Amino acid sequence: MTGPLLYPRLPREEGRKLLLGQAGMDLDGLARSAQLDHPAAAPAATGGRPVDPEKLLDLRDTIRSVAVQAGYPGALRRGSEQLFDRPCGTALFERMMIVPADAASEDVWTFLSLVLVPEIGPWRFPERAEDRMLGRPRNVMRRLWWRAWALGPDLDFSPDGCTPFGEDEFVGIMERPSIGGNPRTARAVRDAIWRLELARTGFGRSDLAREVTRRFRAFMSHIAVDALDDRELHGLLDEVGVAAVRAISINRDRQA
Amino acid sequence: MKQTIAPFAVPSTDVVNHGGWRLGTADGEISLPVDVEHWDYQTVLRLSAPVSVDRARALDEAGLSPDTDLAVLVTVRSDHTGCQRRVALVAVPPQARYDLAIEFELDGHDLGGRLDLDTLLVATAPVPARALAARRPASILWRARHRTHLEGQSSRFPTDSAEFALSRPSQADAGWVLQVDLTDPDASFMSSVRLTLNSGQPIVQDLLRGASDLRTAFLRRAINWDVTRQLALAALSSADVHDGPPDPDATSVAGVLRNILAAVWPHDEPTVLRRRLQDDPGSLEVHLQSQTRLFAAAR
Repeated sequence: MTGPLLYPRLPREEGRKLLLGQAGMDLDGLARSAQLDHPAAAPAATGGRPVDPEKLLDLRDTIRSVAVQAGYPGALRRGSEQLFDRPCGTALFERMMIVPADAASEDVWTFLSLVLVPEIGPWRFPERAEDRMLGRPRNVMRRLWWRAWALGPDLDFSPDGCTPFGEDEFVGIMERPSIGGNPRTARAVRDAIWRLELARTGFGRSDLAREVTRRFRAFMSHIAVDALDDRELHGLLDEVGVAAVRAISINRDRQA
Repeated sequence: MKQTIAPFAVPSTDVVNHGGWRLGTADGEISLPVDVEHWDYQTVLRLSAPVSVDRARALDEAGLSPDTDLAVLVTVRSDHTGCQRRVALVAVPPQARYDLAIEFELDGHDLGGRLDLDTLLVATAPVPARALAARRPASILWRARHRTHLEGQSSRFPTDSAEFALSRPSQADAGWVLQVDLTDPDASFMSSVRLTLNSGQPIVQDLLRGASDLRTAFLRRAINWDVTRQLALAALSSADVHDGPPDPDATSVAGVLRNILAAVWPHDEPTVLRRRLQDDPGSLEVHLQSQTRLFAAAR
């Protein structure tokens, strides 16, 4: 199957109805209730080819396989969530053949989360918060697809001497639209953070990442990042990195 | 467009004349409309604009040497996807004044909703001639924003309908529900706020069918008043809605909520309104009724 695929869209209120019905179900019950369609779900009228059931089945099997590798149905230990998140984001991005315009639709992710693989959201987020189960920006799978779009597709990749990004670092980039909305910029910031990691500054990478993104955004108010060539962008981010290290160091000295 | 104060000298706004965007259609070029009809993800938009740059004056007023390289950069951003990208970067030739023809094709795979087209004059390789001149590559000297809506989203409040007897059985007699998600103040307003009308109510059914009578007119005003009220209270309950001038171009939930407060109370900062909510909540309520013209139809 070639070309962009359009996924079924389940409206929010239909999603809430499903959530109500799924509230008391355990993971096994949820998995057995999974379907490939829903009477209230339909893809966008135009813009691509509706996904067929075989593709949905393949996607479901892939997501479940990633979850099993990460320990499903056993609970994810605190700090090990990326064992699921990173490979799932990569798999979603590589398998779905969905365009960003459709991936920005809440109703697409509501369908996937509550109809196709209804056990995955509650397993990953046992508190079953509505904004994780419905297809809003923090949805269990939606946020992973967008990470792979901006920073992947291989979210488990890291250069020698570095480690893959964790939740704080992903969120720090993706929840800054001026950075996370542009893959070139997002990857440049990511690479700058990895360079700081290689420099062994002695400071935590999450703290460095936070400081780098904050300072870089300040530059973006009057520097057109899209007009910089790669060398210039790299240089600017390294300058920001040096300033970030200095700022954290000064702060630490003050607190000592 | 929000005004940004650059940490270097910038020229007057009239050093660049942007002739406006033109959209190529089967019947020839038209001015880019407010709403691009019949758009979907597979639509490729052909856009062009004449941009005239008074290079000599721009450089002189910005304190830059005539050796400085300038370029016109165009970027696009969709509020539906949050995607942003460069679509054109055109060098300004070393002539005193030059008319550029900016042209590009925009495919729709990462767009939708509100589309912002930003045109910037940037010093790609600035050579400062005075102390306050820009020094960094890609310093922004001038900018303009144009806007259109794809999928006809120009004036839509995020709204849908459902039968509450099925989705909210304990609230089956309600008329509507407004959901406001403030967990991420930078998230898009359109994805963080949703008004759902109860299609189980006969009067709501009439409204959804397009009925236009005194009952449905008052229902519309009641919904408008209540939605405005709830959004105002949400804004006042959020530490992420700050004092300061509202940004008319805001699309984030915090930004739009600030705009709503400014529309209802143009002379009061959120801090003042929060105190008033504590000390004299009735004054806010009566003002809201008046501003939303809740009873205007009854006159």
